Amino acid sequence: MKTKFYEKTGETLFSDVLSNGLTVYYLPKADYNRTYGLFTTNFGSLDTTFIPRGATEFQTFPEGIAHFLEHKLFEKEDGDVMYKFGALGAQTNAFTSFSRTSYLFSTRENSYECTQLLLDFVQKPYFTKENVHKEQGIIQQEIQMYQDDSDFRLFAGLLAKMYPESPLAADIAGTPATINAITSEDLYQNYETFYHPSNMNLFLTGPFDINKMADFVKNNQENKMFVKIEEIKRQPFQAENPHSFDQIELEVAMPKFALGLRGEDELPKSSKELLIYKLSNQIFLDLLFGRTSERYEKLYNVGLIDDSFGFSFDLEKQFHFSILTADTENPEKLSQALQEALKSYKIDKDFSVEHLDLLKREMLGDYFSSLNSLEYIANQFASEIYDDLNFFDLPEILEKITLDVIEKHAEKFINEMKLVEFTILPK
Amino acid sequence: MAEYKIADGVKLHVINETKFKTVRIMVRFREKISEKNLGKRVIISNMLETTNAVYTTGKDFSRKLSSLFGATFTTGVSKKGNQHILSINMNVVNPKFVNFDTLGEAISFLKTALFEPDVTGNAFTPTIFKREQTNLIHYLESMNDDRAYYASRKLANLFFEDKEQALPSVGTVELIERETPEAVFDYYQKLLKNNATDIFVLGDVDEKRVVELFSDFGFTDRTAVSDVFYSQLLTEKVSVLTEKKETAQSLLQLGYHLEVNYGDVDYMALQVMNGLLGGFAHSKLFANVREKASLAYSISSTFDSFSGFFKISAGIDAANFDRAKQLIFDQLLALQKGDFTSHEMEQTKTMLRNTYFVSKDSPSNNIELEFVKALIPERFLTTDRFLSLLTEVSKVDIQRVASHLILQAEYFMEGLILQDMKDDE
Repeated sequence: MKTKFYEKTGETLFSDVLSNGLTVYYLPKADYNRTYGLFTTNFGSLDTTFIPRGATEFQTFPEGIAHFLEHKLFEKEDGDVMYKFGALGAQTNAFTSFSRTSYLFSTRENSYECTQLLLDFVQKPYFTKENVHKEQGIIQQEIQMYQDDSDFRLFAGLLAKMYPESPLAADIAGTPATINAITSEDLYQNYETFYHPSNMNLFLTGPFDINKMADFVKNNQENKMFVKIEEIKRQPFQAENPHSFDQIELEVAMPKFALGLRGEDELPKSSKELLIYKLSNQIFLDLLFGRTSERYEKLYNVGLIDDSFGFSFDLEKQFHFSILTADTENPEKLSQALQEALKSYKIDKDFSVEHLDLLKREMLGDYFSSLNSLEYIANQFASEIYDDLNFFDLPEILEKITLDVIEKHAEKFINEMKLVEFTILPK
Repeated sequence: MAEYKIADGVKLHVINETKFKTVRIMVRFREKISEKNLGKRVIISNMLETTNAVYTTGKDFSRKLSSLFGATFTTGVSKKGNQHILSINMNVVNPKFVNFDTLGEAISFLKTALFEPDVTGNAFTPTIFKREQTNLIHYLESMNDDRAYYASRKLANLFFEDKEQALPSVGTVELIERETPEAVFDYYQKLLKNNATDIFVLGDVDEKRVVELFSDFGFTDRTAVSDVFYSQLLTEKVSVLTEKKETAQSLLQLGYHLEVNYGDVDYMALQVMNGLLGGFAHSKLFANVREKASLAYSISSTFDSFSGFFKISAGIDAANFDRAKQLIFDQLLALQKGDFTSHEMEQTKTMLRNTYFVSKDSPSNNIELEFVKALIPERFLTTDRFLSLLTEVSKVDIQRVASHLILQAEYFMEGLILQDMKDDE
């Protein structure tokens, strides 16, 4: 087991890779009341085409299968796992993203029993024709709930225009048609391919005894049989050319506008460079559009944006993009202002060392604040794209980011990106 | 935890807690909800958050906060029973991590925000006022885009007889539209003088220094308000409203008369009863309506023990309305008849106990508990009391509380289902 003390935050992180390939992180938090566990597989809504374990050909599965599997893992022959966690006094939940599926518990009592339950239920599938059929009704309701959420529709609509004919264009939960096509055999094939310990990680934090917990996890894993570690062959991510503009009508009070910047530049190979690339592009947006910028002030004062204005930079190994969104009375004018800013950032007064220093100061403070939340920390660890680096290395990486570094990365991104506009207009 | 009287009706609560990496500061002003003042309070909340006499532009305001290592300054409005609450929150990283007096600077920023607002003559600066007023109206209009929020507003209107209690804490477009920069500023001065005020500071702090920093805020004596609980009489008739909306999912919300207040004899029984009915994943509503009958994705029950309001909400398919409603009624009936096992009851207690402790891992929940204590010290449940009362709750207690729930209001948002969304089985 590896131990590392992070001086800047005062946290000690323990980590281990077990013989079955499972990566485990332990972050003891003696003065917290709850223990939080997060068990993650690198398998999400994007992974619909791959070579199933034991097969030789690529196969495509219905959209929404990772999410469907997430729902179904909770159901066992002797009932729903949720009730077992409940009997231990714990809360449990799960979520699926583009690239991951995570299962969690949060508890004050019985932390060892809960850890065992988490490991056991995720590692023991039980799918039948009947229980698969029953789940379709529940997921149907879930899909409909999201369809009625206009912010979700804006995000999903923009993604579909940015990455046509790709898994990113589809809802994480799938559609009523695709979920109805899912069979229990499909679920087993997906499960066996992606739920191998070598494709998973476990993060545990809370007031437990580190040695006892580590032994406990190790024993649990050693007592189970797993097939040998094999590389998973996923179909490379592909998308058609983006649609540059689209709009739909919904019952909303004000137009909702989204501008997407689809990244086309090649990503750095090393995980450290990748993290620097990501942070650089996040700060780039913040320099130009954040609340501390001249532009935010101007757009706010003329009423083109309000508190609903937001932006983000998302990066996975397969794709990266920026999104800017706002409720605005004049989407065209706002779009123009945002696009002009992106073109002329080099001469922007806010693209300055002084502004950068201010934002880095803010980010450092935000970083320490985020350490209050065990859930937040765990979620950062669930994403494994930075291999040897982790969330606790962030303050040091942040120091290395200069205006030159930002300019270097932003230039690549901005020069090659493809712009997409998507608007929801009131009916 | 220590309490200091700054003036009559103004208290400073310092909660020393070392486990967090931040210090959280909150100032709460409260008074009885009134239609006359509610809009003003909401606008004030926005004004304070935008600019002031020292930081005159949004950019200056934000840059100052960034320079304090990403300090946050947020405001909000809420209700607790009869009381309308205006909260000013600051959150800063603990000075020891950044080697900078974030705490002292934050409290000084807070003082400026409260006592040096952006004023021209005897009014909030009109251009900024107008802009914030417009933004607020947009915000309120777009809140209705959130279907669940919209449904819960409709249910509250059906349920509450007192029109002021039915008002949303964030106001309405009408209330915001009618305000002027003069009237709101005039009222703001009264608010600073007359509202019961609680200040909370939570974190790894030097208590003496905190007291010192707040002592020159210039708060004067005022009369604290004690009338917190709202209650209304039972009505014979159930108020029913069905609306058709262009949504895929339909929303059913039911409002019940609840006669148990926070700290009452039956308060812990209410907690357990709600947990059994719809508060947790093992609850009757979740297990039977969602998991067994597959009729809903979201279904739950909640209560407000300060306003006598108990609510069940479900997201369903319009075609299943009658079946879902009947099944919901059956679950409540089952609790009234005592149709639950002692195992289910114990499990609910364990969950409640855990939830109670887990909430103490969050700075804002800790402050919320202190606030309840400040509001109703005589009824406040300490940890020991909470736990012992929870243990004592019996099956009969739960049945009694369940049988006191009487349906008063029913709102149904009937989704006009889009055909391409339909199941193509």
